[in-house]
Amino acid sequence: MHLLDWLVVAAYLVWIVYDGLKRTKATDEMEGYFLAKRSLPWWAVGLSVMATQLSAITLVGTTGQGYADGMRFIQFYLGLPIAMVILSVTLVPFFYRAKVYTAYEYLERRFDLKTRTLASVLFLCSRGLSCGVIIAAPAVILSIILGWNLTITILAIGVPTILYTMVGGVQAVTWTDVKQMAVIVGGLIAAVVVLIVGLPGDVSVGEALHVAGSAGRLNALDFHFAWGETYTFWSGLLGGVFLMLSYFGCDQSQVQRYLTAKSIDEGRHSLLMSAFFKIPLQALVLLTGVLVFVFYLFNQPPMLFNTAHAKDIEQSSRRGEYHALEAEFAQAFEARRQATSALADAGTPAAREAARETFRTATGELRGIRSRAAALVRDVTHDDSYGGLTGDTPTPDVNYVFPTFITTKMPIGLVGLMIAAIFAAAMSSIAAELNSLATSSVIDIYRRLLRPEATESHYLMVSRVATGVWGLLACIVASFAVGLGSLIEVVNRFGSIFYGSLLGVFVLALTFRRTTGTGAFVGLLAGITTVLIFAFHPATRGVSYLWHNPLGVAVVVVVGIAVSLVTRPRMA
Amino acid sequence: MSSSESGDSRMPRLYTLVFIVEALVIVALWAFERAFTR
Repeated sequence: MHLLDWLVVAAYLVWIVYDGLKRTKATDEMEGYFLAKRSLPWWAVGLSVMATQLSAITLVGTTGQGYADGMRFIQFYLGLPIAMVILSVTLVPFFYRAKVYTAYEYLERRFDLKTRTLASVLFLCSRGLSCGVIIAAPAVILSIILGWNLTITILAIGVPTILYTMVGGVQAVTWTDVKQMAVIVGGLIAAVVVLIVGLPGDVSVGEALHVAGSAGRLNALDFHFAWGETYTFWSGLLGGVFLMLSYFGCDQSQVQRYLTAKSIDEGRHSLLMSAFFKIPLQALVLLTGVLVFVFYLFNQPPMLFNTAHAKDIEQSSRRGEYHALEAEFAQAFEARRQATSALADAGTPAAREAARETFRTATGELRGIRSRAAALVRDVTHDDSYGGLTGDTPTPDVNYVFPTFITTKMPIGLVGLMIAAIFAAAMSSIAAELNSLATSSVIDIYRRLLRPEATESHYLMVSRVATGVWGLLACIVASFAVGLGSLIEVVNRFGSIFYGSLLGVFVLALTFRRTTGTGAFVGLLAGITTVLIFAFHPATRGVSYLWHNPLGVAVVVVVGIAVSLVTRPRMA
Repeated sequence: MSSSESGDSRMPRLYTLVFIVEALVIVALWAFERAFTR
């Protein structure tokens, strides 16, 4: 990386940490530290909601999805606007009027202590682990792409975030999120401009998009229904609603964002900002990936983007075979490049159809060589993930496509901006998670169960320590997670197992007045157990995890009502 | 309860607007796909 890029990244880090540290207004009170005294404007909260959801792995992973599989990932977000409206009507006013610090605090008021404690413990376990994964994922990618030391990369992401979150609490998190969103969107727009400018002189944007369309990269909507498919119109719209309701309504890292708003309506407006802009933003991210795909139709990409295996290959007896594949790949790429130009130039429908056929044959040739290379890497490294494909790209490559493009094809200065954008995406998510983990630890566990009578300053001190401890734990989990690729999937699955059930408890709380605390508690346990069995049973594990959420809700509601009818004290 | 807490009358219109915008976005995605894949 050029010195100027280093300076851009360093300037970003200094700016964000300075901005976070100066947000100390009213942080000597619990309500100021955790809820900014409910004083923040809707647009800042709304940007914070969006920044929290857009993690670094979303940024590089989604562009990779766009490259490998096209636009269809957009369907994952179709349920989001509906969920935001439902939450604005239901949970937002309830939380706001209850004057709670955490979503789970409300469960004690409505049900009992054991339901609140179980919900908060589930949140702490799941988010504590996922916070480590959120650091680990971009750290691994940056360390491989840029040749940085992995531990230093983890610390470079984690330490500044821990520092400003400890000192400034939720205000630091929110106001840095606003700036981080600006860096992310600015970086994406810069990348799109570079990609468009990088097209060959005789290829227009329209022609480039026609080529992308011919390669299936612009297929955004798939209306067929399949339980096992996550990225279809119906999975996204119906299953996605429940996932988004769970995430934005029951996950403290999101609930805490809109609890800081000035009023109920400002809280609602902050959520509606995502309802309006989340899908267009994701479309921009995916389109960036599609344009990277188009860029690499005219410029030779590496045979495999992830170079983590390079050393093992060079030291193996199959080194020569790998290099022969690289030479074959270069030849096949040249044939495909010519086919791409012919397709872009084709004037009549008949010429276009013929050119499309040649293009597809050439693409199939390249895919075959990549698959053989991936199989060779799997044989040498024994990394089974090289057996999988995302779209037509080996799965371990997907997250490395965009970072490779950034570091090898973007101009000096913009490389630094894009690396800063990846840092920003990671830090904004981590900060919100650390802040919410500390809030739930202190409010739901420490103050409620261990030290109910301490002073405000004591709780503040414990809150800062809790933020630091969760941050440290996240860095430790991150350094272990990188060596255990499957851990990331385990953590994601773990989250999806309890999300729907947690939503079910809130549905019970708001909808069925006669539900008892025992009913809610047993319902929650039954929901989690059912989803757990459903997720891992051979007969049902093929069903997309998006459907775990409505299942969890249904079981909690049915069991919760049934148990409440049995345990409800009889009227005298 | 203050007026800001009770919810203002613009909210239902905003919710309607969310659904209209989502429908338009879906149509736009479909039209974009059709325009460049034929």
